[in-house]
Amino acid sequence: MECTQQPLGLDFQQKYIYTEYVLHSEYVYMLNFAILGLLSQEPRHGYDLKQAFEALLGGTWPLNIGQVYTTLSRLERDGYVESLIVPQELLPDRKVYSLTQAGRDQLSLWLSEPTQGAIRLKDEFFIKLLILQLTNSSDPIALIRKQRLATMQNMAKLTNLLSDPDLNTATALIIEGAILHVEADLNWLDRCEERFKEGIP
Amino acid sequence: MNPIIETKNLQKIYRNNGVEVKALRGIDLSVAEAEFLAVMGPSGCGKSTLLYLLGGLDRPTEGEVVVNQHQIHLLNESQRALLRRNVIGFVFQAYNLIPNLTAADNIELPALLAGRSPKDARERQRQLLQSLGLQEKETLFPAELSGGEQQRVAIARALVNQPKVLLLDEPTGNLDTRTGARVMEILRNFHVQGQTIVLVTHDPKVASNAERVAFMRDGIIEDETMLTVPGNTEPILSHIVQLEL
Repeated sequence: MECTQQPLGLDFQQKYIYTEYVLHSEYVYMLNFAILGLLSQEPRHGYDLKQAFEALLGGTWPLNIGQVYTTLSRLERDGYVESLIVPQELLPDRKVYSLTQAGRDQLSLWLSEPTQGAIRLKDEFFIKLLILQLTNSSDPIALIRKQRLATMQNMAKLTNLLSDPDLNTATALIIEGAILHVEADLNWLDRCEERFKEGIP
Repeated sequence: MNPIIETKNLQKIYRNNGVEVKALRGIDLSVAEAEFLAVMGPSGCGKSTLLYLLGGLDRPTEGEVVVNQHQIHLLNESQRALLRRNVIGFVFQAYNLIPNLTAADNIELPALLAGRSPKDARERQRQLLQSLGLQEKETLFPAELSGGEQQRVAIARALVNQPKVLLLDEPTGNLDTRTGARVMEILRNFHVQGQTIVLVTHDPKVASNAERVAFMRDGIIEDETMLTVPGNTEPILSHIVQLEL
């Protein structure tokens, strides 16, 4: 979640950083297993992993190489992967990583279970609406309508992406999922408008 | 650029057993040539009524509607029929093809009625069926076609006289998601070739194919926004790496 405004104070900063941390840790969690999965195919070095990961996600998730090495060293520390130094002619030595038995077990456990569905109860826009109502500074309905237009513009961006005839199946599915989430957001904005027009006590 | 469609204070009041229903309460709308506009809103907001008035299928109670410089609100029934044949293409949710005519004949009929030669009508029909991927279906009757194919034939029929504006009422309403997306892709392509399109729908996924969207509620246009900035095709993704699943 992006916040372009100036931090409001220490409390705000701490909460903001905390939010970022939670989101970041979810990414780290997913990345761990994606890397274990890619290594279960064949041993790979860091840059190879970065490329394979990005290709798998159809470019929807660009990785920075630093993240790959941080993840690999943590997985190695915990005994899920091991590395082998491979000398190269005229080039620096290369560290090639492969999966350990513990890594294989972790991976098959993860693959066999459903993920915890992301239940989103904290929504920045909703907090904004409530605060607006509280401070009486402007009309919440006007804000809902602005939000609807912005959300519709996001929907159009996704629809444009999806209309690319060369899109691969993985990328198309990710984008279709995003479109359905945006559609749900629009339905929810309609509900917000109805309820705010009735007046929230 | 001059608008190809313009309405001023457009109103429609239906009277049922002495009860007045205000379907449209003053619409000021302007559509430029080659624009693709979606009108979105819940059922009962008046969006279909608006489309029928733009297409000359009905007359306004108040206000003006001008399409390609024709003042539709001043025309009588037969003048409006002529306009619908030559200037406007209409596509309905339920396709509305003539059941005892083949796909080809459904498309050629409005061309013949407009005074084109049979040869000309046939050629135009073939081109359209080809561009819609239906060239092998020309001898089939509507009942032998899938919903998506029937709607594509209906689009071809609407376009056969090269109308200045193409009007569509929930064109994907009876279709599954995939088939609906295919139909929208076809509309996007015609738009890229310069076809002016006005589409009404309750479905944001459908509306998101347009360049501009207007939100209707209780007979008025409440909001509108551009969806794509002309000339800006910047994608959300910085790069797309392809891998086959």
